[in-house]
Amino acid sequence: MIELSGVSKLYGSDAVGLDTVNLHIRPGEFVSLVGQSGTGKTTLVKLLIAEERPTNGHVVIGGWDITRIRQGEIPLLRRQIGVVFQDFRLIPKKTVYENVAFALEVSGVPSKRIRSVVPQLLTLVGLDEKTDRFPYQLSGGQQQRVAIARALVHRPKILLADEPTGNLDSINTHEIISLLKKINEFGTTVMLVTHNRDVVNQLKHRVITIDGGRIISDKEGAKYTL
Amino acid sequence: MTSFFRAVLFAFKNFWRNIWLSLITISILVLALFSVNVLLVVNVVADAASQAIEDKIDVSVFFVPDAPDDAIASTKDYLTNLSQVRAVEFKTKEQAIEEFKRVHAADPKLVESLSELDSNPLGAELIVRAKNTADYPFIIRSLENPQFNKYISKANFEDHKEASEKLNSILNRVRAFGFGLVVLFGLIGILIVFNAVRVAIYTYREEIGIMKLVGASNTFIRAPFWIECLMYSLIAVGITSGIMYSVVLLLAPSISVFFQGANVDLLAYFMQNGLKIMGIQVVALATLCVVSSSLAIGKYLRV
Repeated sequence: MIELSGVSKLYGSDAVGLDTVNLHIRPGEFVSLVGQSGTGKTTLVKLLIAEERPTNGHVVIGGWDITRIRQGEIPLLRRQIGVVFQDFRLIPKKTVYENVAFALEVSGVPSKRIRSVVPQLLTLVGLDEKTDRFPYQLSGGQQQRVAIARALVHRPKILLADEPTGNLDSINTHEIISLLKKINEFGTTVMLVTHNRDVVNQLKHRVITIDGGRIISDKEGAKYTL
Repeated sequence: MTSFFRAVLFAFKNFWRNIWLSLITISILVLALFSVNVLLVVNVVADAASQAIEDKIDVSVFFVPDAPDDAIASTKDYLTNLSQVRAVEFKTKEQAIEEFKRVHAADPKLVESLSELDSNPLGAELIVRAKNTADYPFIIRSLENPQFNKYISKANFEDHKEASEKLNSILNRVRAFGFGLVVLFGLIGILIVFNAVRVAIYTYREEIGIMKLVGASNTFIRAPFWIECLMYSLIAVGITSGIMYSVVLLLAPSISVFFQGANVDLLAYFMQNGLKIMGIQVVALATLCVVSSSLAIGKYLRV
């Protein structure tokens, strides 16, 4: 599903984002990517959504080599990968429904299909009764659930969650992780980028540890070791 | 087609949801357009005033008292047919002497001395008005042809020549200054519009990033901004035209009085050219807006 071979990312001549990373993630896996701040986790996410290009190596997603992806193909890639961030990245002046529908609207999906898909997703994330609220009227956990619903509108095979619980309290963190597990059970590959020890230990899934731009550990059912 | 209608819908939503930003952007566009339009009015008035002054200039061609009527008629026909000549007015010998008496009514001795003469000492006169003051020397030269010259006692262009040259020089400088001001105000207007649009786009930078994140194409991201630009331009030109119409309506009578006798009809000018001026301004403003927004958005599309 996701394959990185010999991937390096340099910023300038001496700042190393990633250093010769080799990684293979199978379809349907739930993987936690852990590491301290500035170790290359977010760089890896940026490479996967083609926000940045690797300096060396190859990045392949679902059989598609995106190493030298053209600008015009990036929207197509991003419709196949759902992404959620720590800061939610919702549009403040759009309602919950509009924020989720927006991702379909910008892709030219017919209105009829939008009217059918968006309520289903809002039900899945438990926000079917808050469709007309604006982001500022929601809690952090609810905002993150909107972001997850939005990330799922294209039915992606991969969901990248970059520190999705970073701004949340423990109750909301638990709810979001449960939601990600549920999404994974439906068959979506989930990559969770986090430095939350409790979350990783509770999941008991594959844990990839990254430090100084290198993968230093990659174990099934592991715990947070840093 | 779905995407086009969505882009239009997004543009309208952006406009209303950021109504203050929209109003501020439109206000800046109105100010920029207003300054250009005021300058346009000044140019129209200056042109009309200079035309009025040019209209006052003429050349009198005095014939000898015994010049035959057919020679005067052929001179008049010749001048009338010249492309440089706008009008030729004929004054008979009798009209010439009557006018002489009227002009010198304050000098009874001079008028009385005329009665002591056996015949009218003045000849007929042609008053020639050229389309352009620069054409007078050519018109005078063309009368040096012996066919006309032998019956002409005097053509008084030399009397006006210096004044006319000075006037031409002043008018040319006024026009050059006006053109310079138009260019300057145009450049200032372009900078103001460019920066206003950049500021507007800056406030959308996060939204643009989110659009990119969820898979919007660059064209789809740009389209609502282009449509919004068109809306801004139409509204700004509409408001400016309304203001200008009121200003012109208010000032036109005073301007006509100020330039007594001159044909300075601002209202008629704007009624006649208003649509063309508005059309040019909408196209120019929308183009400027679209270029500015495209440049400004480009920076945020690299994610």
